[in-house]
Amino acid sequence: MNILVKANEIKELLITDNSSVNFVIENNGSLLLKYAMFLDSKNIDISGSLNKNSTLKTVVADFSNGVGKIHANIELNEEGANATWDLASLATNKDKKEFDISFIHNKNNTFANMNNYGVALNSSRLVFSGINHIKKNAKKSNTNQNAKIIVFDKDASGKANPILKIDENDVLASHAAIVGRLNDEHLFYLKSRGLTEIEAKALIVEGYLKPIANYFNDDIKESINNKIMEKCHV
Amino acid sequence: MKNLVIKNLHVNVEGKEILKGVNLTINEGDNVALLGPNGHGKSTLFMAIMGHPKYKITEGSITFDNKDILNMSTDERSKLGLFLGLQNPSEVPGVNNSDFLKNIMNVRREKPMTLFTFYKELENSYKEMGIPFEMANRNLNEGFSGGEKKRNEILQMNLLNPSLSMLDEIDSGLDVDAINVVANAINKKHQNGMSLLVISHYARLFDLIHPNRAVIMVNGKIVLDGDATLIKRVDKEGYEWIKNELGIEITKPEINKKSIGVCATKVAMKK
Ligand SMILES: Nc1ncnc2c1ncn2[C@@H]1O[C@H](COP(=O)(O)OP(=O)(O)OP(=O)(O)O)[C@@H](O)[C@H]1O
Ligand SMILES: [Mg+2]
Repeated sequence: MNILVKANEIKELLITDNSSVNFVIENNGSLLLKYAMFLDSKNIDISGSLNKNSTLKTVVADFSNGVGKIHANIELNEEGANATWDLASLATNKDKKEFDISFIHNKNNTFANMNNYGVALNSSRLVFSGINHIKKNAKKSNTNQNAKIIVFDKDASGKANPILKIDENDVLASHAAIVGRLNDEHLFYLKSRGLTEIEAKALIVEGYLKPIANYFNDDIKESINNKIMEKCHV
Repeated sequence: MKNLVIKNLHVNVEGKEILKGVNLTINEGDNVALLGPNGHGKSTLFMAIMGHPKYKITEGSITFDNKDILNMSTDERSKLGLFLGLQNPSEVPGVNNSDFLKNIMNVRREKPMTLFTFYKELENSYKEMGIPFEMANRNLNEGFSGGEKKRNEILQMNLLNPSLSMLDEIDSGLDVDAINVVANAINKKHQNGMSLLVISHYARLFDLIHPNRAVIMVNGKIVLDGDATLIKRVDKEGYEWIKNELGIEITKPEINKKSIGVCATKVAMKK
């Protein structure tokens, strides 16, 4: 799907059929790109570029099933370009999900912020690879990346590879990545307060994944809640 | 009567016997100090009562309110009215403190509370414990200071209204003012009928909560069960006299062993 956001235009797009997207946002344009994924996983490409003072907000709620890789490559081509990415992903059963997300700062005063949250249950695998690249001549740019995965079962795994590539001085950059494993102590603590094993797990999963629901309409919110419940109760 | 009755309790941790025949009864309304040297099994007893999976019961029985709790799950024991304030409360990743509190209150109610009732009750409890209300929005114990974690334990005790509270070194890490706040909260619940079994190494807490009984655990057994004067004696003289008077050899804890404290705080986090 090709999308052109014209100068000064504001566009919002909700994608529920796992299709790939290629976009261009012209000067002062703004795109809100939302993915709600409940179907079978597949490979998705998200690519695009931002021009002067344009804004991109990407929100990805991934509750799909199976094997898939999402590849995103976003170029901040002109001054004042501002891009954010928020992802929540739930991997269950034998899912293998990979997210490969790059923000490339090509000009001065560009801004990017990436947040990836994930939960890996059963024998699934979840990988977040994020690259924030500040190129030469992109002074005073600001780039951040934050990844948080919690792994539940012993056969599940999670990996976060945050990469910052900085070719310019006078920039701000930060990254944080935590892969936590739910252990007996956490579960015991929650159970000792009266929560059953399922209630305890659901509480943790919700903590990681529910905030993403706020970006969506009531129907999708409900689907997200149902998915969390359904997948934790197995 | 909501009595806790422990008979001939033997508990193994990682294949090693830690509790070697504990006999102890806590009667409804009791306020009991549990004393004993480091590493002799006090925390282990609490973990076993609450049903931590690492603490394997090989012999003996525990009943509460005449019900055999050993075939109950941990959450069932909690709902039966047992509360454990941990020596080292876990930092649970990703769980919002106020979501957590709302959940643990709702699971013991027929109908969930309204948000308004919940927030009112929460706000009052925070005020009572002297914890800034903003902390309700942090993650459960994540990044809390030692004292903040302990206050958060007592806050949960207040909200859950247990019949029997087992408090494990609840005073460690608390500043002087906080000890008073915590002691007041404990006393208030006790006056309303909550029974207490309290571990501490310091007489200061006991001076504030006035136990009616004190018991001493050595080598995985309760070796003395007496009145509160035992607390004073231990505070002054330590535990050497037990060896002389009762003829019990007190084994020194092995330093290289993990204690519960170390274990519980070791969160599997890769940075
Ligand atoms: N989870 C565990 N893993 C391994 N060993 C344990 C564990 N819990 C307790 N132990 C061992 O059991 C023994 C008793 O420990 P426990 O924590 O019950 O002592 P305690 O009387 O509470 O001591 P303290 O006063 O220092 O808190 C110690 O040798 C300890 O190392
Ligand atoms: Mg202890």
